[in-house]
Amino acid sequence: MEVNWFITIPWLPAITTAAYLTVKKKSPSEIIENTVKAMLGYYLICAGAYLAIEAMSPLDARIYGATGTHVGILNTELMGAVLVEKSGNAGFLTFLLAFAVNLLLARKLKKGYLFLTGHHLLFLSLMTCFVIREKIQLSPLAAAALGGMITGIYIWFCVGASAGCMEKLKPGARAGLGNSASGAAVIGTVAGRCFRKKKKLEYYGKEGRNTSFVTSIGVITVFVLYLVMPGTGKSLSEAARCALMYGAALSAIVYGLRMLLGNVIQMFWELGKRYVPDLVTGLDSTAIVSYSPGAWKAGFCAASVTAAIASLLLFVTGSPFAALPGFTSLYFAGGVAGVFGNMEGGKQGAALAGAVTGIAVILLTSGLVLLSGMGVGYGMALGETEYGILGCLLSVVLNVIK
Amino acid sequence: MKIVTLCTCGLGTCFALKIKVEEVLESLGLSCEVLPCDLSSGFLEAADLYVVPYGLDVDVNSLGGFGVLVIEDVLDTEEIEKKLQESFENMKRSGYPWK
Repeated sequence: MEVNWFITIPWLPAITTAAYLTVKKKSPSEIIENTVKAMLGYYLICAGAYLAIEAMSPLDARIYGATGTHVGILNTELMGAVLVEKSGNAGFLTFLLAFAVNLLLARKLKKGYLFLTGHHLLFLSLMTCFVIREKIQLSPLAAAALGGMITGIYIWFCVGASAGCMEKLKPGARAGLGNSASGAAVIGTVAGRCFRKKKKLEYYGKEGRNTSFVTSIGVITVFVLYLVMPGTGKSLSEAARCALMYGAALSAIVYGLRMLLGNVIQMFWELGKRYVPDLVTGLDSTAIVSYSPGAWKAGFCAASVTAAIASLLLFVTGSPFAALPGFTSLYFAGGVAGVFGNMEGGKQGAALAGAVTGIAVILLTSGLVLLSGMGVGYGMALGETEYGILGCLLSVVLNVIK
Repeated sequence: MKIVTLCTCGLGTCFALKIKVEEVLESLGLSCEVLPCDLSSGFLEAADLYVVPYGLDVDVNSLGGFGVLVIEDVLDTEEIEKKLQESFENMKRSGYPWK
């Protein structure tokens, strides 16, 4: 997706950050430092995107050469960074417009659902913008406007759907999920209810802890993929090099996102508190891990197993694209499903919820890529449920309209 | 004084915690630097206090500083306020050099 009407210097994030800090009456030195930091964050994300492509595109090329199937490891941050790099200021405009639309809906409809996880809102907006431009070739400004509107409406529904599930987890919480796993929350609740009629249910309690080494799991996954997948050279040094580049890319992107979005997220929260009566905050998924860490882990493990099986089936059936289980994405989606599945149906509910979510994430992501062409050849794909749901729906609708 | 809020990737829940912590500090009339960070690089921030959601695997000893506050419910401002106040009182009692 070419953006040739904006210069590539990220002036829109800079202006947004500077304007916010000026309104907050920060000192000139703070304004300048944070504004420069936002721009540096943008370039750090771009650097991470280049590194990620360098690490993962050979994997796709080799597997495609051997099997005729393109692949993409599930990792929202990596694929999101590529979208950031390709969309520039137009993408950031979509992101701001999406929040503005969500804020307006939350205020006017008196259901104050507000999506407050910055990086997922950014990636959802960029994905929407990409699909629109691929399908109906609008100008960047028109695509940003339409993409912002569609994303803003969609995220209002996402927070609302998950807030309904959250109400049972913690009554009166006035919170939902704003992290692209609202679908997992709904899947978890529905799957858990399959066991509701069982007389004796054993539930996960508050025991246990979850691993913080999500990046390391991803690095090991890439290392193994480079050694075992068909068509790869089975070279230990190449596998290690690409796996470490993957990890470095992820670290750079996460750090860059904090620099780019730090003040913007703060601004979104303050706007929400000021302008939305009866605010229902859409939070990131780890806000709910404390309810049952054991269920989170069960959901993640179950999702990982079924995602691997679903991925294998896509290969066996000759699908043109197969999403590969990226455990970072499955950690969040499967974990969320597990917590809600446990709430409704105990340990069995948690496991089933995770299992269904694993399959859903692989199929939805593969569907998104097949329908939109996003990321083919890069070796990575957006993970979690919301990208697949919105991306597939939008692609189908725009195909019909075209 | 520096407080760092932590979560798995340093992008989502730690921002929510940061905002809640800042609300509490404002209500207590205190001013501190509050930064969000991911779990694996939190120790690099050399904070005085770390705030982390319950359920995440944190090596408390590796973080340093005065201590780690484990928050059971990131939506519960009262819990955050109570635990912050307890930490500040413990810091003063132990003679921890905070500004």
